[in-house]
Amino acid sequence: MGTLVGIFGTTHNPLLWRTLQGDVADDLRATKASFMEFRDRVAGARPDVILVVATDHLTQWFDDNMPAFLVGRSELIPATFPNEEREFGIPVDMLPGDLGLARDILTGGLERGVDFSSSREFRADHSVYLPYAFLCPDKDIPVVPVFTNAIAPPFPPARRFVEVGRALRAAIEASPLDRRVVIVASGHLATEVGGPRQFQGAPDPSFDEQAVRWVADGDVEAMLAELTPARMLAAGNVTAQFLNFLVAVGAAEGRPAVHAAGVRSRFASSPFFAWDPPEVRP
Amino acid sequence: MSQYVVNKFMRLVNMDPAALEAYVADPASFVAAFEADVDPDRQPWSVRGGRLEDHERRALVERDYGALYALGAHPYLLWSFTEAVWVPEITRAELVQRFRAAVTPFGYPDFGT
Repeated sequence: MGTLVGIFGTTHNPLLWRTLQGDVADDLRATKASFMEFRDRVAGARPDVILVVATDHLTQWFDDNMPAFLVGRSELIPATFPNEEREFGIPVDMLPGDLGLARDILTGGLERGVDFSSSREFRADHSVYLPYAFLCPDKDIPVVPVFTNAIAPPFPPARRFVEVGRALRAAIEASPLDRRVVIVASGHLATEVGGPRQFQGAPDPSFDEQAVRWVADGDVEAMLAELTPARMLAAGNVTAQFLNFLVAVGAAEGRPAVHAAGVRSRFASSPFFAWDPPEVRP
Repeated sequence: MSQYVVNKFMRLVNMDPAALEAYVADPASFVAAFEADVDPDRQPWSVRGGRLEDHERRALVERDYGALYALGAHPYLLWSFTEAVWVPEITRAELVQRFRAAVTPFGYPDFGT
C-alpha cells in the first residue's frame, strides 16, 4: 500500500535556473534559501517517488490535442526542449520514472471519476524539471508527472483541481506498491509572460498576499470562489498555474498548510507551500 | 480568426532550430511554405487544416509581435517566439522595452483558441 509522506508546492519560474546557481544576487537569497529548506524537507520525508503536478508550456502538449489532466507513464523521462535550453539555459537531461506507480495512479484516478489522459511517450519541460532538480539534486528518485492544463484556456475549473488532488491521494493509498510518495505541485503566484506587465516583478502583490493566506488557512471555499479565470487573468496572464496548488490542497484534504510563503525577488514572487499529509485512513 | 494556426506557426519556429533559422533568413518564403503545408485544400489528407488571414500572414512575415499580441496569439508562446526571432538582431533588453510598448495599448486580448 502506497503512503503519501509529503505535500509541497513551489515555483517553476525558468528564469531561476540560471540565477539561483552558485552565489546568488541579494534579492534572490531568500528564494534560494527556501529551495534549500524544501530540499531538506523532501529528503526528510524519504520518498521513493516524487509526483510532480505541472503544467507543460505548449511544448509537449498543444491545442492539437490538449489534455486537461494527464498521467505521464514512462521509466525514462527526457527533459527538456531546445527552446528551453536556448531561452533559460536548462540542460537536456533524463529523469527516472516509475511505470508501476504511474499505472496505479492512472487506474485509481479513472476509478474515482478523473478521466486522466495517459502518455507513454513524452518529454517534460521546465515545469517538471526545475522543481524536481532543485528539490532532488541527485535526480535519483523516480518521478511521476501529472500534467494539468492551466495554460491554454479554457481551463478546468478550480474545484476540479481539488478533486484531482483527492483522487491522487486515494490512488496512491490504494496502490498495492509499497511506495512512499511525495507530491510536489509546480505552479506560480501572480505571474505574467508576454503581456504588458512582464519582467516588472510581481504583477499583483495583493493577489499573492491573499493566495498565501488561503493556503495558510486552508480556506478552500475562498479559493474556489475567488479563483475564476477573470480574477487570475487580472493577476497576470499565466497566473492560472496557481491552480496546480489546489491539487496539493485536495491531496491534503483541505487542511491548512504548515508552511506558506510568497518569497519576493526581482521576478514574480515564488510560492513555497508545505502540508503535512493527512493520516492514512483505516 | 486563425489564432490556432498562428500559435502553431510560432511553436514550430520556437521549438525547431532549423525552422527558426529558415524563418529568420527569409520570413516571407518560410510563411508561404508553412501555409502550403497546412492548407486543407492542398493537403486534403491532412488534419492540420487552417488558413491564415491576410493580417495574420502580414504579422508573421513582418515578425510584428504587437500585431500578433493584438490578434490573440498565446502570450507565453509569443514572448518566447519573439525573443527567438529578434535576438541578437536587437538586444534582449531593448526587445523587452519595445515589446512592452507594442503590447500595452492592447490590454489583454482573449487568447483562448
